[in-house]
Amino acid sequence: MTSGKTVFVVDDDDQMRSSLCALATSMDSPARAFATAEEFLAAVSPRSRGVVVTDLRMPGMDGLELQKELARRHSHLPVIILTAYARTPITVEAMRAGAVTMIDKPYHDDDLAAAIRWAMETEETRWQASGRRRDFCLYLASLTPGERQVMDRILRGKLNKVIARELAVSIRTVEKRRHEIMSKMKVTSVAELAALVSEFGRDEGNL
Amino acid sequence: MSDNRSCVEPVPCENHFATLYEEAPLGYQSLDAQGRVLQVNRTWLELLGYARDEVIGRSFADFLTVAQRPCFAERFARFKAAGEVRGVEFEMVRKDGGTLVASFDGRIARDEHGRFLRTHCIFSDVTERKRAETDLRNRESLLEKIFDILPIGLWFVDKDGKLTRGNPAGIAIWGAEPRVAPADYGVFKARRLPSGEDIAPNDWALAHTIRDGVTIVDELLEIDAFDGKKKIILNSTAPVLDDGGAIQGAIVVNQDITERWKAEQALRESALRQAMAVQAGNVGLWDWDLLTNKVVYSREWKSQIGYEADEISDSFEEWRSRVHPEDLGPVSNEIQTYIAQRRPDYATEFRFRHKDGSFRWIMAHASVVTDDAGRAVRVMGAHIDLTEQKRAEAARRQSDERYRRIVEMANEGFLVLDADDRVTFANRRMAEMLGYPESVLEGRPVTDLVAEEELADHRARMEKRRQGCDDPYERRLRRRDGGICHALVSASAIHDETGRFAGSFGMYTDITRAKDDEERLAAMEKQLRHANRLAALGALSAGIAHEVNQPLCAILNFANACKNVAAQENPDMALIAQWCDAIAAAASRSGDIVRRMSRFSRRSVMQFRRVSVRELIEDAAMLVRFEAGRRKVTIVRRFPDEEWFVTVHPVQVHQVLVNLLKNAIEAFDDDGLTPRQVVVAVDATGDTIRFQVTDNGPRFGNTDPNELFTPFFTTKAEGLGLGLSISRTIVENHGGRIGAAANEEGGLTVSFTLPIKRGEG
Repeated sequence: MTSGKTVFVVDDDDQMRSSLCALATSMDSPARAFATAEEFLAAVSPRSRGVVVTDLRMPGMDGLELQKELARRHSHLPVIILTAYARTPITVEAMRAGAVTMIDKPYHDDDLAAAIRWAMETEETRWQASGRRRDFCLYLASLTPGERQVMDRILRGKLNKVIARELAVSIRTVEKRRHEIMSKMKVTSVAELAALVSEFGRDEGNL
Repeated sequence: MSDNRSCVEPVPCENHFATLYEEAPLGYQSLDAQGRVLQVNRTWLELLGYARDEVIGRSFADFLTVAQRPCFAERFARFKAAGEVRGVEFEMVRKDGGTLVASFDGRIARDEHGRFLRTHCIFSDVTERKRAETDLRNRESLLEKIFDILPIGLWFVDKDGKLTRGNPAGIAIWGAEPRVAPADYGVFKARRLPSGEDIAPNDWALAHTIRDGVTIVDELLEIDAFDGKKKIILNSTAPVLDDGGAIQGAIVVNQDITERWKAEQALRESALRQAMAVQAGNVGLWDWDLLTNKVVYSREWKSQIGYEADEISDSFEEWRSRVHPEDLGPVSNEIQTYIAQRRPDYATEFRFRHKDGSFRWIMAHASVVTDDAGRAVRVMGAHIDLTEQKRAEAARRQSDERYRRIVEMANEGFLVLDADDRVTFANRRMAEMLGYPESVLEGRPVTDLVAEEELADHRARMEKRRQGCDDPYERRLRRRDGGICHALVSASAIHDETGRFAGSFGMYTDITRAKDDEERLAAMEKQLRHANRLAALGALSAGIAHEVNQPLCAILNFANACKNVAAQENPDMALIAQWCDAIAAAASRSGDIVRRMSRFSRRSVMQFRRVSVRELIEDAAMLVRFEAGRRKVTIVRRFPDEEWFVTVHPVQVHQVLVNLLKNAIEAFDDDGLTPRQVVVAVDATGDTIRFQVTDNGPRFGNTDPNELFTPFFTTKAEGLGLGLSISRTIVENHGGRIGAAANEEGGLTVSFTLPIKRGEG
C-alpha cells in the first residue's frame, strides 16, 4: 500500500529521526532522513513521491516554514507536522497553508502510523491532481533558453520577423524554435499555449 | 496612789494560784533547786504530749533539745540568783519528737528567811511567732535577690553622698554608672515633671537626703540618660541611719515608669521598709476580788502598758478604762457570761491602751475562784501581749502582699524552685506562658516544663547553678498543650542561712514571638525561593514538555516499528533488537531529563553537597534549551578542561543559573539582530569560582544594572521581579557575590562567585 513511496523525515533530534525512520521501514516504506529543512528542500524534486514527517520546532527553518515553502512550490507532498504543543493559532496557520496533519506529542500508540498511511493515500490523489501542472512544469523545463526567449515574445503577440530582429537571428531560426516550442509544450496553437501559461505561470521550472 | 503591797508578786494564796495555773491555758511549771520538775499544769502536759507521771521528778533539761541543755544550767543558776526571769526562750522537745519554742517568765518563791523554795514559771508557746519571724527573714532575703535581677534601678550612696554602686537596672536606666560625689551631681541632667524645671546639682533629692536625712519618694523626673535617651523615671531617695539616727548613707531608687511601673512601685516600697523588730511579749498577772471589786495588777501587767508599779490603782476601772471602746462591750459581756457559767477555761483578745496612747493587742486568760458555797469570789488571770506577734504576722502578710504584687504585675514569669528543683511558686505570667492554671504548677518537677531536647542542657545548668554560676540563657519550655515557649532566663541560686543551696529563683521573659518571627521569615524565604523555581519551571514548561516528549515519542515509534516487523513473516530479529536498544537509550534519556527537572523543582531540605560545575550548568541549560531555540538564541557553554567541583546547595545554585539564563534569553526581543548568543562560562581565581552569563541582547540604556537585584524590579511585562533578588540571597548565603554590568556588545553580563571550599553547611 505504501510501498514505493518514501517517508521524508525532517527532525533535528537524532533519536526522533532514527525512530521515525524505523517506523517507516517497518511499514515497508523507504525512509530518507534530514536534520534540517534546508537539506530536505535541496534534495527533493517534483518527481519525489511520498510524505514529509517534520518536527515543528527546529533550528533554522522550522516545520511550518518548510510546509509554506513546499506550498509555494506547489508540491503535492503531504506534510505531517509533529508538535510539542499545538497552540490553536499555529494549527490554523498550518491548515491554511495546506498541511495534512498536525500531531501533538506525545501521541497515542499508532496515531502517527495511521497518519502516515492516510497521508500516503492523500499523496496518491494529489499526485494525480497535480499531473497537468507537473507536466507543464516538466515541458517548460525542457525548453532551451533560446526557445524561452522566443516563447516569451510569441506570448506578447509579436510577429516572427520582429522577434528575429530583436534577437538578431534569422526568421528561419525563429520559425524552427517556434516549432520546437509547440512540440515540447504539446500544444497545437498559440492560443492553447497562452491559456496554459496563464493557468500555471511562467516560472515553475525550478521544482 | 497605791501602797507597796500592790506591786509585790500576786501570790496571796498559793493554792489559788495552783488552781489557776492548773487550769490556765499557759504552760506552768515549778522546779526545785536542782532544776527537777515539781509541778506542771495540764497545758504543759498537753503542749509537750506527756503524762504527768512521766514528768514529775525529772530534770527540766530532759525536755530541752540537746543543744539547749548546757545553757539551761547556766541560765537556771542566774535565775536563782536574780530571783526572776522574763522572756527567756527555750526550744523544748515534745514526746513525739517535735519541738516548740517557749518563752518563759518566772519567779523564785522563797520562805520567810529568804531561802529558795521553788520556782514558779509560766511559759507561752512562741513557735508560731518564731516561724513568722523566720519566714519574714527568708522573704526579705528573697526580695534582695529580686532587687538584683529585676529591672529596677538601685543606687547605694555613702555618707558623704558619693554614689558607690548601682545595680544593673540602675545602670541601664542611666546608661552609665557615674560614681560621683555631691560636687559632681551636675553630671546628672534631669527635669522635674510636670513643671519641667531643671534640677540644680545641690537640689537633687539625694543631696537633700544626705544633708538633712529626709526621705524623698517618687519624684517624677525626665532624665537625659548618658546613652542619650530621655526617660521618665520615678526617683526616690532614703537615708540609711544608724541606731543613733546618724546618716550612714543613702539609697536611691530609680524606676523607669514607662514600663512595669506598678510592679516596680511595689518593689520600691519594699526597699524603703526594712526589717521589723519583733519583740517577745511578756505576761502580766492580775487578781480580781469580786467582793471588793479591787484588782491586784502585777508589775509586768503594768509595765506591759508602759506604767510604773505605782502609777495604776487597784480598781477594776483601771482595766475597763483601757480597753478599746470597740472591744469593751463584747469583752465585758464575755466576762459576765464567763463568771456566771464558771467555765474552767477562758481566753479573749482585745485592744488595750498603752500609756503612750497606742493600743496593744492583749490576750487575757482568766480563771474563777469560788467559795465553799460555790459562789465566784475572785477571778485571777494573765495578760499576754500579742502586739508584736500580730505585727510580725501583719508584716509578713504585707511582705507577702508586696511580693505577690511584684510578681503578679510583672510582665516576666517568675519561678521559685526548692532544693530538689520542684516548683514552689509560679506567678500568673509564668502560668500563662506555659498554658497552665497557676495552682497546678506548684509541686511539679521543673523538668516537666523543659523541652525534651534541652533536658540535658538544663541538668548541666542546674548543676552549675548549685556551684554558684548564674548567667542569662535561653530555654525552650514545654507548654501544657505540647507547644514550645522560648524564654530568656535570668536565674540565681537561693541559699539558706547556713549557706546551703536551698533552691533557685528564676525570671523568664517570653521571646517566643521573636523566635517564631525568625523561623517564619526563614520559612517564607524558602517558600519564596521555591515559588520562584516553580515560576521558572512554569515559564519553561513548553521547553520541558518538548524535552520529555522527544524521547517518549521516539520510544513509541521504535515500539510500533518493532510491533510491525514482528507481525511479518520471518521477522528480522536483528532489526528488532537494534530498535529495542534504541528504546532503552531513549528511555534512559527521558529518565535523565525527569531527574534533572525534579532536582530543580524539589522543595529541598538537602544539605550542601559537592557537585560538578559542569553538571550544574548542563542541568540549567537543559531547562532553558527549548526557550532558547524558540527565540533562536544559541547557548554557548565554556568549561575548563578539568572537572571542577563546588560544595553548594545544588538546587539553589541551579536556580540562580536558570534565573540568569532565562533572563538572558528573554532579553532578546522578537525581531532583534542575529546571531543571538548567550555565553555561560566559568573561571576560577584563588579559592573562588566565577560563573558568567553574557548575552549580546539589545538592552540597557540608562538603568543601573545593579538595580536589577532589587526585589520586584522588572523590565518584563510578565516578570515578578523576584528572580534576581532571590539569586542574590542565594549567592550571598553561599558566601559569594553577584553583580551585573553592561558589556561591549551592548548586552548584559551577570556574574557570581562561589567559594570553592567551604565548611559543612
